[in-house]
Amino acid sequence: MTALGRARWTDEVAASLSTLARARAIAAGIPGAGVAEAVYDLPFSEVWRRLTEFERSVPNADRLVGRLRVDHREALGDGVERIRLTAWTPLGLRQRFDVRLEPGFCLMGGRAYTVVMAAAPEPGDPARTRYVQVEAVPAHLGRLLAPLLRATVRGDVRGFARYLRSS
Amino acid sequence: MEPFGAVSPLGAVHEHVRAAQRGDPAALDALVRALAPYVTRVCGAIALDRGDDAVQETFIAVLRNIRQLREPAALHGWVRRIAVREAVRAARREAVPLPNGFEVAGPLPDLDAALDVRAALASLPPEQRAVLVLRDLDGLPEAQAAAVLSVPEGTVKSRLHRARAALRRALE
Repeated sequence: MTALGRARWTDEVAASLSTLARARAIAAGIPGAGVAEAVYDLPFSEVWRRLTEFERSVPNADRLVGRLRVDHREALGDGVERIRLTAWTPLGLRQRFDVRLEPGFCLMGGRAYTVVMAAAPEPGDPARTRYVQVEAVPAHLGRLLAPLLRATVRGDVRGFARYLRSS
Repeated sequence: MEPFGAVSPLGAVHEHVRAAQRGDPAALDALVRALAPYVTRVCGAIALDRGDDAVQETFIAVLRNIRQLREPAALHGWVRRIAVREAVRAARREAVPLPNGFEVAGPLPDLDAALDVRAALASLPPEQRAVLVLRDLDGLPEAQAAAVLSVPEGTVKSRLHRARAALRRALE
Protein backbone atom coordinates (compact mmCIF):
# COMPACT_ATOMS: atom_id res chain seq x y z
CA MET A 1 0.00 0.00 0.00
CA THR A 2 2.97 2.30 0.03
CA ALA A 3 2.24 3.37 -3.56
CA LEU A 4 -1.11 4.63 -2.41
CA GLY A 5 -0.10 5.88 0.97
CA ARG A 6 -1.96 5.15 4.17
CA ALA A 7 -5.48 6.52 3.93
CA ARG A 8 -4.52 8.97 1.20
CA TRP A 9 -6.07 6.79 -1.46
CA THR A 10 -9.47 7.30 0.11
CA ASP A 11 -9.17 11.01 -0.72
CA GLU A 12 -9.06 10.05 -4.38
CA VAL A 13 -12.42 8.34 -4.25
CA ALA A 14 -14.23 10.25 -1.50
CA ALA A 15 -17.97 10.60 -2.03
CA SER A 16 -19.83 13.81 -1.31
CA LEU A 17 -22.59 14.95 0.98
CA SER A 18 -25.17 17.00 -0.89
CA THR A 19 -27.18 19.73 0.77
CA LEU A 20 -30.32 17.70 -0.05
CA ALA A 21 -28.96 14.62 1.73
CA ARG A 22 -28.02 16.77 4.70
CA ALA A 23 -31.58 18.10 5.00
CA ARG A 24 -33.12 14.61 4.67
CA ALA A 25 -30.77 13.30 7.35
CA ILE A 26 -31.66 16.09 9.77
CA ALA A 27 -35.33 15.31 9.21
CA ALA A 28 -34.66 11.68 10.14
CA GLY A 29 -33.25 12.81 13.48
CA ILE A 30 -36.25 14.91 14.56
CA PRO A 31 -39.38 13.04 15.67
CA GLY A 32 -42.39 14.06 13.59
CA ALA A 33 -40.51 16.37 11.23
CA GLY A 34 -42.35 17.17 8.02
CA VAL A 35 -40.44 16.87 4.74
CA ALA A 36 -41.48 17.94 1.25
CA GLU A 37 -39.59 17.92 -2.02
CA ALA A 38 -40.19 19.64 -5.33
CA VAL A 39 -38.47 20.39 -8.61
CA TYR A 40 -38.63 24.01 -9.72
CA ASP A 41 -38.26 24.94 -13.39
CA LEU A 42 -35.51 27.48 -12.80
CA PRO A 43 -31.73 27.20 -12.45
CA PHE A 44 -30.31 26.70 -8.97
CA SER A 45 -28.65 30.11 -8.75
CA GLU A 46 -31.91 31.92 -9.43
CA VAL A 47 -33.98 29.72 -7.13
CA TRP A 48 -31.55 30.09 -4.27
CA ARG A 49 -31.11 33.83 -4.68
CA ARG A 50 -34.86 34.40 -4.64
CA LEU A 51 -35.71 31.97 -1.85
CA THR A 52 -33.09 33.50 0.42
CA GLU A 53 -34.47 37.00 0.01
CA PHE A 54 -36.28 36.03 3.19
CA GLU A 55 -38.14 39.27 3.79
CA ARG A 56 -39.95 38.83 0.46
CA SER A 57 -39.98 35.09 -0.13
CA VAL A 58 -41.18 33.72 3.21
CA PRO A 59 -44.23 35.96 3.74
CA ASN A 60 -45.23 35.30 0.12
CA ALA A 61 -44.95 31.52 0.43
CA ASP A 62 -45.87 30.77 4.05
CA ARG A 63 -49.41 31.58 5.15
CA LEU A 64 -48.35 31.49 8.79
CA VAL A 65 -45.86 34.32 8.31
CA GLY A 66 -47.26 37.79 7.85
CA ARG A 67 -44.01 39.69 8.08
CA LEU A 68 -40.31 38.95 8.45
CA ARG A 69 -37.35 41.16 9.29
CA VAL A 70 -33.63 40.43 9.03
CA ASP A 71 -32.05 41.85 12.18
CA HIS A 72 -28.41 40.91 11.74
CA ARG A 73 -26.11 39.32 9.16
CA GLU A 74 -22.59 38.11 9.79
CA ALA A 75 -20.19 36.34 7.42
CA LEU A 76 -18.48 33.33 8.99
CA GLY A 77 -16.22 32.54 6.01
CA ASP A 78 -16.38 29.86 3.32
CA GLY A 79 -19.66 31.32 2.09
CA VAL A 80 -21.39 30.68 5.42
CA GLU A 81 -23.51 33.42 7.01
CA ARG A 82 -25.13 33.67 10.41
CA ILE A 83 -28.36 35.63 10.32
CA ARG A 84 -30.80 36.62 13.02
CA LEU A 85 -34.32 37.32 11.92
CA THR A 86 -37.74 37.93 13.41
CA ALA A 87 -40.99 36.62 11.96
CA TRP A 88 -44.54 37.59 12.85
CA THR A 89 -47.66 35.55 12.22
CA PRO A 90 -50.60 37.36 10.58
CA LEU A 91 -52.02 37.72 14.11
CA GLY A 92 -48.85 39.37 15.35
CA LEU A 93 -47.22 36.52 17.30
CA ARG A 94 -43.45 36.91 17.12
CA GLN A 95 -40.64 34.38 16.89
CA ARG A 96 -36.90 34.94 16.53
CA PHE A 97 -34.71 32.63 14.46
CA ASP A 98 -30.99 31.95 14.34
CA VAL A 99 -30.08 31.10 10.78
CA ARG A 100 -27.09 29.30 9.29
CA LEU A 101 -27.02 30.07 5.57
CA GLU A 102 -24.72 28.37 3.07
CA PRO A 103 -24.93 28.02 -0.69
CA GLY A 104 -27.82 25.59 -1.14
CA PHE A 105 -28.50 25.07 2.55
CA CYS A 106 -30.28 27.03 5.26
CA LEU A 107 -31.18 26.06 8.80
CA MET A 108 -33.53 28.42 10.65
CA GLY A 109 -33.81 27.54 14.30
CA GLY A 110 -36.36 29.13 16.59
CA ARG A 111 -37.52 28.14 20.07
CA ALA A 112 -40.77 26.65 18.83
CA TYR A 113 -40.12 25.97 15.17
CA THR A 114 -37.29 24.91 12.87
CA VAL A 115 -37.09 25.16 9.10
CA VAL A 116 -34.41 23.57 6.91
CA MET A 117 -34.19 24.56 3.25
CA ALA A 118 -31.90 22.83 0.76
CA ALA A 119 -31.52 23.08 -2.99
CA ALA A 120 -29.27 21.70 -5.71
CA PRO A 121 -29.28 21.56 -9.50
CA GLU A 122 -31.33 18.64 -10.77
CA PRO A 123 -28.90 15.96 -12.01
CA GLY A 124 -28.68 16.05 -15.79
CA ASP A 125 -30.92 19.10 -16.05
CA PRO A 126 -29.19 22.28 -14.80
CA ALA A 127 -32.16 24.40 -15.88
CA ARG A 128 -34.15 22.88 -13.02
CA THR A 129 -33.62 22.79 -9.27
CA ARG A 130 -34.49 20.12 -6.73
CA TYR A 131 -35.66 21.55 -3.45
CA VAL A 132 -36.13 19.94 -0.03
CA GLN A 133 -37.77 21.61 2.94
CA VAL A 134 -38.02 20.30 6.49
CA GLU A 135 -40.20 21.74 9.25
CA ALA A 136 -40.08 20.62 12.85
CA VAL A 137 -41.21 21.50 16.35
CA PRO A 138 -39.45 20.53 19.60
CA ALA A 139 -39.02 16.77 19.83
CA HIS A 140 -41.57 16.19 22.61
CA LEU A 141 -44.32 17.71 20.43
CA GLY A 142 -43.17 16.24 17.14
CA ARG A 143 -45.17 13.03 17.01
CA LEU A 144 -48.34 14.78 18.14
CA LEU A 145 -48.06 17.44 15.47
CA ALA A 146 -46.58 15.29 12.70
CA PRO A 147 -49.69 15.29 10.46
CA LEU A 148 -49.96 19.07 10.77
CA LEU A 149 -46.26 19.52 9.96
CA ARG A 150 -46.52 17.32 6.87
CA ALA A 151 -49.42 19.38 5.57
CA THR A 152 -47.74 22.66 6.43
CA VAL A 153 -44.44 21.87 4.75
CA ARG A 154 -46.18 20.67 1.60
CA GLY A 155 -48.14 23.91 1.50
CA ASP A 156 -44.99 25.97 1.93
CA VAL A 157 -43.16 24.19 -0.88
CA ARG A 158 -46.14 24.85 -3.15
CA GLY A 159 -46.11 28.44 -1.92
CA PHE A 160 -42.48 28.84 -2.95
CA ALA A 161 -43.36 27.44 -6.38
CA ARG A 162 -46.05 30.13 -6.77
CA TYR A 163 -43.67 32.79 -5.55
CA LEU A 164 -40.96 31.73 -8.00
CA ARG A 165 -43.45 31.75 -10.89
CA SER A 166 -44.83 35.15 -10.00
CA SER A 167 -41.69 37.16 -9.43
CA MET B 1 -6.70 9.63 10.58
CA GLU B 2 -8.67 11.81 12.92
CA PRO B 3 -12.24 10.84 12.16
CA PHE B 4 -13.70 14.23 12.83
CA GLY B 5 -11.00 16.56 11.54
CA ALA B 6 -9.18 19.37 13.26
CA VAL B 7 -12.14 21.74 13.32
CA SER B 8 -14.29 19.50 15.50
CA PRO B 9 -12.54 18.40 18.70
CA LEU B 10 -13.98 15.24 20.18
CA GLY B 11 -15.32 17.10 23.20
CA ALA B 12 -17.38 19.33 20.96
CA VAL B 13 -18.60 16.33 18.99
CA HIS B 14 -19.73 14.65 22.17
CA GLU B 15 -21.69 17.76 23.11
CA HIS B 16 -23.33 17.64 19.69
CA VAL B 17 -24.30 14.02 20.33
CA ARG B 18 -26.04 14.85 23.61
CA ALA B 19 -27.93 17.76 22.04
CA ALA B 20 -28.74 15.74 18.92
CA GLN B 21 -30.25 13.03 21.11
CA ARG B 22 -32.67 15.67 22.37
CA GLY B 23 -33.63 16.42 18.76
CA ASP B 24 -31.79 19.75 18.55
CA PRO B 25 -31.69 20.52 14.79
CA ALA B 26 -28.54 22.66 14.95
CA ALA B 27 -26.71 19.89 16.83
CA LEU B 28 -27.90 17.29 14.32
CA ASP B 29 -26.48 19.45 11.55
CA ALA B 30 -23.23 20.08 13.42
CA LEU B 31 -22.84 16.34 13.90
CA VAL B 32 -23.34 15.73 10.18
CA ARG B 33 -20.72 18.34 9.32
CA ALA B 34 -18.26 16.90 11.83
CA LEU B 35 -18.69 13.35 10.57
CA ALA B 36 -18.85 14.15 6.85
CA PRO B 37 -15.08 14.03 6.07
CA TYR B 38 -14.84 10.52 7.52
CA VAL B 39 -18.13 9.15 6.17
CA THR B 40 -17.54 10.44 2.64
CA ARG B 41 -14.14 8.67 2.55
CA VAL B 42 -15.48 5.36 3.83
CA CYS B 43 -18.51 5.39 1.54
CA GLY B 44 -16.59 6.56 -1.51
CA ALA B 45 -13.87 3.94 -1.12
CA ILE B 46 -16.34 1.08 -0.72
CA ALA B 47 -19.36 2.09 -2.80
CA LEU B 48 -17.45 4.04 -5.49
CA ASP B 49 -20.04 5.43 -7.94
CA ARG B 50 -22.83 4.76 -5.43
CA GLY B 51 -20.88 6.56 -2.72
CA ASP B 52 -23.14 9.60 -2.53
CA ASP B 53 -26.17 7.36 -1.98
CA ALA B 54 -24.31 5.50 0.74
CA VAL B 55 -23.41 8.79 2.44
CA GLN B 56 -27.06 9.83 2.54
CA GLU B 57 -28.23 6.43 3.81
CA THR B 58 -25.51 6.46 6.46
CA PHE B 59 -26.49 9.86 7.82
CA ILE B 60 -30.18 9.01 7.79
CA ALA B 61 -29.45 5.84 9.79
CA VAL B 62 -27.10 7.64 12.18
CA LEU B 63 -29.44 10.51 12.97
CA ARG B 64 -32.59 8.36 13.08
CA ASN B 65 -30.96 6.11 15.68
CA ILE B 66 -28.79 8.62 17.52
CA ARG B 67 -30.89 8.26 20.69
CA GLN B 68 -29.81 4.60 20.92
CA LEU B 69 -26.16 5.60 21.33
CA ARG B 70 -25.63 5.42 25.10
CA GLU B 71 -22.04 6.62 25.25
CA PRO B 72 -20.87 9.48 22.98
CA ALA B 73 -17.32 8.10 23.14
CA ALA B 74 -18.58 5.11 21.15
CA LEU B 75 -19.73 7.39 18.31
CA HIS B 76 -16.85 6.73 15.93
CA GLY B 77 -17.10 2.95 16.08
CA TRP B 78 -20.87 3.08 15.78
CA VAL B 79 -20.76 5.40 12.76
CA ARG B 80 -18.02 3.28 11.18
CA ARG B 81 -20.18 0.17 11.44
CA ILE B 82 -23.17 1.93 9.85
CA ALA B 83 -21.11 3.54 7.09
CA VAL B 84 -19.45 0.26 6.10
CA ARG B 85 -22.79 -1.57 6.12
CA GLU B 86 -24.53 1.08 4.01
CA ALA B 87 -21.61 1.37 1.60
CA VAL B 88 -21.41 -2.38 1.00
CA ARG B 89 -25.18 -2.47 0.57
CA ALA B 90 -25.07 0.41 -1.95
CA ALA B 91 -22.19 -1.17 -3.85
CA ARG B 92 -24.02 -4.47 -4.09
CA ARG B 93 -26.96 -2.75 -5.72
CA GLU B 94 -24.75 -1.94 -8.67
CA ALA B 95 -21.95 -4.47 -8.37
CA VAL B 96 -20.91 -6.24 -11.53
CA PRO B 97 -20.47 -9.89 -10.55
CA LEU B 98 -16.90 -11.08 -10.77
CA PRO B 99 -16.27 -14.31 -12.63
CA ASN B 100 -15.10 -16.11 -9.53
CA GLY B 101 -17.15 -14.49 -6.80
CA PHE B 102 -14.88 -12.80 -4.29
CA GLU B 103 -11.72 -14.05 -5.94
CA VAL B 104 -9.72 -11.67 -8.09
CA ALA B 105 -8.42 -14.07 -10.67
CA GLY B 106 -6.68 -13.55 -13.97
CA PRO B 107 -5.81 -10.15 -15.42
CA LEU B 108 -7.44 -7.15 -13.77
CA PRO B 109 -9.92 -5.34 -16.00
CA ASP B 110 -8.81 -2.18 -17.78
CA LEU B 111 -6.02 -1.07 -15.49
CA ASP B 112 -3.93 0.69 -18.10
CA ALA B 113 -4.27 3.84 -16.09
CA ALA B 114 -2.02 2.50 -13.37
CA LEU B 115 -2.57 5.40 -11.03
CA ASP B 116 -6.34 5.39 -11.36
CA VAL B 117 -7.28 4.41 -7.86
CA ARG B 118 -10.95 4.25 -8.69
CA ALA B 119 -10.38 1.78 -11.50
CA ALA B 120 -8.17 -0.32 -9.26
CA LEU B 121 -10.75 -0.37 -6.49
CA ALA B 122 -13.52 -1.14 -8.93
CA SER B 123 -11.78 -4.39 -9.73
CA LEU B 124 -12.40 -5.54 -6.16
CA PRO B 125 -15.68 -6.71 -4.68
CA PRO B 126 -17.19 -4.36 -2.07
CA GLU B 127 -16.34 -6.73 0.78
CA GLN B 128 -12.62 -6.48 -0.05
CA ARG B 129 -12.84 -2.70 -0.34
CA ALA B 130 -14.46 -2.63 3.10
CA VAL B 131 -11.54 -4.55 4.59
CA LEU B 132 -9.08 -2.16 2.97
CA VAL B 133 -10.91 0.82 4.44
CA LEU B 134 -11.06 -0.65 7.93
CA ARG B 135 -7.38 -1.64 7.93
CA ASP B 136 -5.82 1.23 5.98
CA LEU B 137 -8.09 4.18 6.74
CA ASP B 138 -9.06 3.33 10.31
CA GLY B 139 -6.02 1.21 11.16
CA LEU B 140 -8.22 -1.40 12.86
CA PRO B 141 -6.62 -4.68 13.96
CA GLU B 142 -7.90 -7.68 12.06
CA ALA B 143 -9.99 -8.87 14.98
CA GLN B 144 -11.86 -5.55 15.17
CA ALA B 145 -12.31 -5.39 11.41
CA ALA B 146 -13.77 -8.89 11.57
CA ALA B 147 -16.20 -7.75 14.27
CA VAL B 148 -17.36 -4.76 12.20
CA LEU B 149 -17.95 -6.96 9.16
CA SER B 150 -19.38 -9.89 11.14
CA VAL B 151 -16.99 -12.35 9.50
CA PRO B 152 -14.24 -14.60 10.94
CA GLU B 153 -10.80 -13.09 11.38
CA GLY B 154 -9.39 -15.49 8.81
CA THR B 155 -11.78 -14.10 6.22
CA VAL B 156 -10.51 -10.59 6.91
CA LYS B 157 -6.93 -11.79 6.46
CA SER B 158 -7.62 -13.50 3.16
CA ARG B 159 -9.70 -10.62 1.80
CA LEU B 160 -7.03 -8.13 2.81
CA HIS B 161 -4.30 -10.22 1.21
CA ARG B 162 -6.21 -10.49 -2.06
CA ALA B 163 -7.20 -6.82 -2.06
CA ARG B 164 -3.69 -5.55 -1.41
CA ALA B 165 -2.22 -7.90 -4.00
CA ALA B 166 -4.72 -6.76 -6.60
CA LEU B 167 -4.14 -3.10 -5.86
CA ARG B 168 -0.39 -3.54 -5.88
CA ARG B 169 -0.56 -5.16 -9.28
CA ALA B 170 -2.85 -2.43 -10.52
CA LEU B 171 -0.70 0.41 -9.28
CA GLU B 172 2.74 -0.90 -10.15
